[in-house]
Formats: sequence, C-alpha cells, structure tokens
Amino acid sequence: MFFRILRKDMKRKRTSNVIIMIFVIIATMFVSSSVHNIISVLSGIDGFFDKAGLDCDYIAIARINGEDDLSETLKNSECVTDFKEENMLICKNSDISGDNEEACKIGDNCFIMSIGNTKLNYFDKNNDRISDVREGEVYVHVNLMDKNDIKEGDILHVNMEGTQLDLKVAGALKDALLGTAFLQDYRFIISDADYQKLISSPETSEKRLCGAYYVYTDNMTDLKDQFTEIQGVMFDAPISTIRICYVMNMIVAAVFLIVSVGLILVSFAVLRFAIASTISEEIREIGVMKAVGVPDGAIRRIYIVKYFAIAIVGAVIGAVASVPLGSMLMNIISKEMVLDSGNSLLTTVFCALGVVGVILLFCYSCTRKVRKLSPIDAVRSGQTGERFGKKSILSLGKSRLGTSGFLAANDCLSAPKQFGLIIAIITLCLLPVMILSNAFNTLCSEKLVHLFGTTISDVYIVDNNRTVDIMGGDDDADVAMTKEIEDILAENDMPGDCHVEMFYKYPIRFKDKKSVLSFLQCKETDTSDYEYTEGVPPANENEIALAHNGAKIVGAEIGDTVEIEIDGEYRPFLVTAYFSSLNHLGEVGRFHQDLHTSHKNRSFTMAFQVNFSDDPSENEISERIDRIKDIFGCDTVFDAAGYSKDCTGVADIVKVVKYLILLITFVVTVLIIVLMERSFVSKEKSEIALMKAVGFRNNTIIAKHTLRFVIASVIAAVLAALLCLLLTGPVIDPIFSIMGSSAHVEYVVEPLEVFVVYPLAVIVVTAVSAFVSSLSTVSITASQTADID
Amino acid sequence: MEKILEVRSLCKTYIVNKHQNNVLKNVDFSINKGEMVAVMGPSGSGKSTLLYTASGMDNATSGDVIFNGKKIAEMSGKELAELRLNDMGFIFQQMYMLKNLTVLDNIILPAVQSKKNTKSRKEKMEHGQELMRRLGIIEAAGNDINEVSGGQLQRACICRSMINDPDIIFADEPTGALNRNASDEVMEELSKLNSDGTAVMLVTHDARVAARCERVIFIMDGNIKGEYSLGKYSTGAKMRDRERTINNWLMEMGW
Repeated sequence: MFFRILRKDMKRKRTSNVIIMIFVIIATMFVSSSVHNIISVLSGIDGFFDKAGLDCDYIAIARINGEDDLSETLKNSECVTDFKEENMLICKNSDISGDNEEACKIGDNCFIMSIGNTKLNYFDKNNDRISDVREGEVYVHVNLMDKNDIKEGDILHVNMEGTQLDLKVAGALKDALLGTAFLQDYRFIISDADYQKLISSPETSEKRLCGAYYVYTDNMTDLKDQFTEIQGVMFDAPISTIRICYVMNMIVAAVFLIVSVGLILVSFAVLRFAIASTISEEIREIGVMKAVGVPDGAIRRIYIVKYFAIAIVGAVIGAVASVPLGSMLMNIISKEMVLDSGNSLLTTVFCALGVVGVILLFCYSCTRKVRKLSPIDAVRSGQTGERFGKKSILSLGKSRLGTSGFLAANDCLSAPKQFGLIIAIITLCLLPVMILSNAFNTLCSEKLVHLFGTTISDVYIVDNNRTVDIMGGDDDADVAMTKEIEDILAENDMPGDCHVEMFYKYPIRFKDKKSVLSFLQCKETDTSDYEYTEGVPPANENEIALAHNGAKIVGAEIGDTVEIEIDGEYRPFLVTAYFSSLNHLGEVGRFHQDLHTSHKNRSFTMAFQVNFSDDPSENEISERIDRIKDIFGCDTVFDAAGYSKDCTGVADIVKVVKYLILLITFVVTVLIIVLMERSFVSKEKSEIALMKAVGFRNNTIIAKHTLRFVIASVIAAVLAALLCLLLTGPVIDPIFSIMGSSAHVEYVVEPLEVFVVYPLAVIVVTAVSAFVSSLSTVSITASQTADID
Repeated sequence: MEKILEVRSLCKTYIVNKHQNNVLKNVDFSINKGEMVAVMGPSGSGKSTLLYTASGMDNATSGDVIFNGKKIAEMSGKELAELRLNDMGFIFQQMYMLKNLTVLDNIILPAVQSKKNTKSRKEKMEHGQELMRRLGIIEAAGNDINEVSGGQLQRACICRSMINDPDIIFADEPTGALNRNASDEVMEELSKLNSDGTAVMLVTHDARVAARCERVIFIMDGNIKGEYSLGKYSTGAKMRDRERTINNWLMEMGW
C-alpha cells in the first residue's frame, strides 16, 4: 500500500522530485570533488616533496671552482650527516633563445642540468616522472614555458661560452626545489650527451659550473653557523624556507579549499530548502493520511523512503560526474606542483554515502512537523487554513511600484528566510571574486613597489646579462654599470639617473646569536628615500634598518647595537628603524649608502631603476620602455606597476583563480536560480493560475518571478561590495604577512570592476536564468485555478 | 435584449489515456446584458467546464464563444488577459487569493494592473475600500487572508471581481464552501451587483442559490437539457416559491 502511494507520488510530483534529484547530483559532485581537493591540498607540499625525494634538511646552491668547493666543506663538516649534489650550469639571459632569435625570459637565476646528474625526481606536466631525456631534447620548467610562450616541439637555441646546441622542447618540467613563481629560479633538463658538449668548453666549466646541495643534518644550528662562514654560496636555506616559497600555490589551493567548502555548504543549504519546501506542499496529503488513521511513523517512512530512493540515484550520478570536475579543479592549482588527484573510489563512495546520509537527516528533521499536523489541516490546507504568519509587508495602495515590482518586492520581504538564503549564496559567491580582484589590482599597481626595497621610478630594467656582469665585477661594478646605462639612455635622447639596489649577505651577531642576513644597499639613493614602519632612517654608515622578520632572526630591536662582520672584523651598527619587505620573505636589512660593501658579499641584484630628468609624460614613458627593450635586447623592462607584478610573480595565478571563481559563481548562480525558480513555480502554481484568471498577462507574471531574483541579486551585490571593502584587508594582509610584509597594504580598488562589472554580470546572469526558468509559468493556464488541491 | 455572451455549438473533449471524453457536446446558449443565469446539473455534467470555456479561461475543442460581439477564439493571449482583467470578474468556490498580500491589496490588485482603469492608485484604494464597506468587510481591509473567515474572504473575492466594474461575473459554486448564513450574504451581494447592471453566470448545485437568478440552465452529460425562466429576482421576492419551482422543474428534467 505504502509503495503504491510512493509510486504514485514519484509520478505525480515529477517536477519537484526531479528538482530534488538535480540538487542531490550537484551536492554529490561538489562534495566529492571538493573532499578530493581538500585531501590533495592538505597533503600538498609534503606529498610533492616526498614524491620528488626532497627529504633533506638544508638546501644550498653554490658555484663550483677550484678554491671553494662546497662538497668538500660538507664532507668534512661534523654537523652534516649526509648530502646529495646535483651539478648544473648557470645561464645568462642571452644564452637561450627561441625560434625568433629573441632571448628567453629566464627569471632571476636559471640553470641547465643533465638527466644523469639528477638526485631528485622531476615530473612532466602529466605528473609522470622524467626518467630519460633524449639527445637533442630539453625539458623546460612549466613557468618558463608559459612566460616565453614555449610549446612542446619548439626549438630552443643554447649558446653558452661558444658552444651551440639546438634543442627540441620535449615537455614541461615540474621541479620541487626551483619551481615556484615566487622564487623565480628555474632549471632546464637536457640529456647527458648534450650536457657533456656544453661542459667540455673550459670556460663553461670554469665560469658556469655550480651545484645544488641537499644537506642532511642533526644539528641545524651549527650547520647554519657554518654556512655563515662559507664564501660563494648563491643561495642557502633550510627546507622550511623552500616550503614557504610554495606559499602562493598554497594560498591558491586554500582559496580553492574555501570555495570547495562554500560549495558544499551552498549545496546542502539549497538541498534542505528544496526538501523542506516540497514537504510543506504536502500538508493536505499528510492531513488526509492522519485523518484515515495512518500513524505518524508510517507517514514519515513514506517520505524518508522516497527521498532515500531519490538520494541513491542522484548520489550515484553525482559521484560519477565528480571525477572530471575534481580533476579540472586540481589541474588549475597543481600547475607547478605534483598533487595527488585524490580521486580514489573509496573517497567517492564515502562522499556519496555522506550526501545520502545528510539528505536522510534533512528529511527526518523536515518530517518532524508531521507530528504537529492534525487531520484538520487536510481540510484547511486551502487559503483559509494554512498556518502561516503575517505575510504582507508593503501596501499596494500606498506603493508607487508597478504590480510586478510590488509583488516581487513584497514576496522577498514576506519570505525573508527564503530570499535571505538566495542573497547569502550569491553574496558568498561574489565576495571572493571581489576580494581577489582587489588583490590582483594591488599586485599590478605601484602600491607594493616599496615592499621590494625600491623607490618609485619611471622605468625598471631587469637585465640578466648586466646583473651577471655586476655579480662577477669589482666593488664598484654596480655604480659603473648604472653610469653605463645612463650614457646609453642619454645617447638615445632619454636623459636621466640610473641606480640599482644590491643585496649583500653579511654575518651578523647580537648578544650570543649569530646569523647571516641579506642587506639592501643602493649607493645612489638616500636611506631617507625609503618607507619605514617605525624609527628613523639610518643617517650614518654605522646605522642600519631591519625588516621585521630580519629583526626577529637577529633578535634585535630599534636602539640595539648589533655587530656585522665587514672585511673580516665585526663592527658595531645601531638599529634605527624597522621597515616592511617582501624580499627574502622579509628577512633583510638596509645599509646606509655610504657604507663600503664588498663585491664578495654580493648575493643578488634588483632592477636598474631609471628616473628621467626631462619629465616625460606617461605616454612618453611607455614609448621609452619599448625603445629600451630594443636597445637592451630584453623584454623585461617595466613601469612601477609592471615591476611590482613581475616581482610578486603571482598576479597571473590570482587572475586565473579570480576568473575561475567568477565562472563557478556564474554556474552556481544559474543552477540555484533555475532550480529554485522551478521549485517556486511548482509551489506557486495556484497563485499563477489565479493571477491569470483575474487578467494578468504572462509577461507580468514572468516579470514578477524574474524581479524577485533580481532584487535578491542586487541586495547580494551591494552586500558583497560593502563586505569586500571591509574584508579585503583582513583576508589578504595575512597572505602578504606570510610573504614578509608586516605593514598594512593599501589596496587598489577599481570601482568600475568591483562595484559595477562583477555585480552587473551576476545580476545579468541571475536575471537571464530567472527569466528563462520563469517561462515555464506560461504553460500554467487560468483554468487550472479550479484544479488546485 | 442585447446579448453579452453567446455560445454556439460548443464542444469540449478531453483525451485521457487515449480515451476520448466529450465533456461538452454542441452546447448553445446566450446571456443578455444585466442577466443573472444559473447553470445547474449533477456532478460531472460539465457545468464548471462550460463556465471556464465560456469565460475564455479554457479553450473550446470546437464551436464559438462570442463576448460582446467578438469571438474569444480569435483573440490573442494578450487580448484575452485584458478581457478578463477589465470586462470579466471571477469568483471561485475556494477563496483563492495571493498569500503575501492583505485582503485590500488582493482586491485592488486587478485595478492596479489595469491600464483601462485610469483612476489614481489612491482612488483605486478608496474604491476597494468602498466595495469592502458595501459588502460589510471593511474591518478586514488590513488583515492577512488567514486572519479572516471564509464568508469574509468570499466577499473579498466578490469585491476583487467587481473592482474594475466588469460587464459580467463568472462564479463557480460561489457558496460551495460557505455556511447557510454566509451563503445568503454572498448571494445578496451578487443580486445587488446584478441589479446594478452586471451580468452574472454562476454554477451551483443549490436551488436556493439558483432561486436568485433570472434564468436557470440545466446541463447533463455535456448537453443542455433545458432552460427555465424565473423572472427577475427582487428583494422581498418569495424565495421559497422560486426555490420550489426550480426543484420541481429539475425533477421533471430528470435530476
């Protein structure tokens, strides 16, 4: 008997049952793919490092030459338990060019390594380990491929110290050590035979040979101390620092994680709404069953069995559909990393069962009101007997709105819970897009330039060839190089001053604590030209400023006197100020311009900054940038905003994530609006028929139904805009703080984009979805007023 | 007498599970301006279908419905909606109203929607209040529809049907859900409305209700079996005699 009722119900209420099933499919898809992603992301860096075999405690990259061989030092060190070494060749910008003969943009440092020299595991774009590279082929880091628009099968020309090779790109490379846009150091992997050709040149083996060292230790403190004494180390850091370089990947992954959790919540919220709404439509039937003596338990069983059947079918379809969805999402966040897709059958089955369980719980809680209903509800379920509270909020007589607008507004106000849910969902979807948009615009603006230890200049020239020359030059090589650049520019009618920020690594001690810190210094600027968060700029050569993380490492505060080893002896320096910096994760300091620094301590060179003296307009500067690119033969010439974007290296990922979330917002909005509108139409069939009976035209009814959602989306857009102003700082500041910045960042809000384009796009998507779904009201006829139960 | 509604050879057929069900078979009748006509017949005889088809709410399978000289079948959806909004009023057995509006707002809704009704929003509201006052439900104006009795709600439905001063009101068992007193009150109002010149076509099982009408049409198995003219009802008429006459006639007709 109950199964006959159930079968009839399935047939008769086909529309609402189909709606519930679609919700179940969506919920299962989102839950299953999101849980996979959460598992993958949480095990992300550790999993990637495990796969790559990057299990050491300390990393170092150092040049190899006769005098200073780091491997010998490591072998003899008491605090080193073991180490692995990968030999490789350091590249100049002009060493590698594409088919168009233009030099490749290769980042800050770039290395060529042979497959035979690898001690870690390296992966291709499909996450398969690269075990062999054929002669004449090269694997290129995935970020370099994107940056230079290199495709598989392209030919790269290598010209190193006179040795020339033409290499066919075999594919993209994922590298656990040098693999992040944040670090901007990359590797190429070639065959052993090709590597031998390059290294057979005495000049190459003498000038270009270096090693990546993977050091194991049981005494990190002593090892760090030991590295402060070693000369010629280009880069050294504990493995935890490499982990932090993946911060942007993890932030992107975390954004996905939040979006995934959001999608799960949205799916369940909508599902609960749909179940509660369908059960509330059945008051009369429940009352009839109670009137004829069917016990409460049996009535609830009918609904629970019905939803169980729908949930099972929906969950199976959703589980199958979750696999491609999960993979699509993972592909976006795992560009640089090898992340497990996490698509195990067990997880999928577990998630699908979880969704079924949650649906049954919802159903159980929604059918609780069966106990409260009396048989009289069956008789009174019409307009006179339904138990709803005060509904009307607005007065039609006093309102200036047209009927569609009035009815839509009144419906929204009369059912605040229902429309509040829609508003909350759209707000939650729109907010991350707006916040990421602010983050992206800030990353692409001048606002962050000071955080890279530079002043605002007209032009920034990142020239790898000149940088390598300075690194190998004498103490005044930087000043000589900037003079040379000034002359070249002046010869080309672009008069101006040029300066460059240099990094120097010096041992520093305070009380009993000894460490090595990178110091910024520019000999042609004044320390007072820079921004400080606290204290006063260093005024003498025996004064320094420290970035907050740098101060933490040293353990010193403003007013303390620290000792820095200059030219073999420790000299006292007074800490006069703190500043905020994104360089070296904020673990830096700044020297006074007059302090004599040695070329031996140089570790890194920033961009050559040019300030034109003839006060050119913005357009003129833009034209000059193009000319400088031609003159210097490099593409990496920027204005302040472009340089900031280039330095963070993550703006493009943020942009992709922003658009992806916008797409997800559109998809979720369309699904929710379509499904909710279908549910409303089914629930409000009687009212629609009645309106038609009293002479309302289809377009008025469609307008009413569309406007309800438009009102909700407009409110959501306004809410999201207000919240984005309030939340951008609290959400994004911690991310910049992980990268080293301790100051509050002044965010760039593009009003047109954030307050007009995105909200308008969501409102249009909402309006179109609601309009298309409400077209189903056309099929309801006035005569159906008489068929209403 | 000028006809407001003319029905010619009206057929309505439903096909359910490939089975053809002829609900109306070549029905012919007409209603004059200002006339009040009752349609009676046993359950399933097709009287409600006749009302909905004649009012243009449902499409006829064949035949013509002519309202004020215009064929309804030739009208567009837009014209039909305008017709229902401005020239026709509807009263249903169940008191259907929009849940989210007050009683007064439900009443004035068709007036606000109507472009033909050129009164200001305030005047429309005053007109709605005036109708409610006339029907004795003014105290329920600001109430939600769940806060008033069935009789009050049905009178509110009558107010709604009158708000645009229609030429004809179609009523489907308007007292079917009401008790005797409420039923009498509602019929009194419809009679007053009719005496003011509005034609009424109502479907009923109840001879007491039909006794207030000028003419009674008896329908059975989709055919009009006969008509009986009672003459115009006026206040103070001998209701029992009119009711007895109808009952006798219906018995003669085989009901």
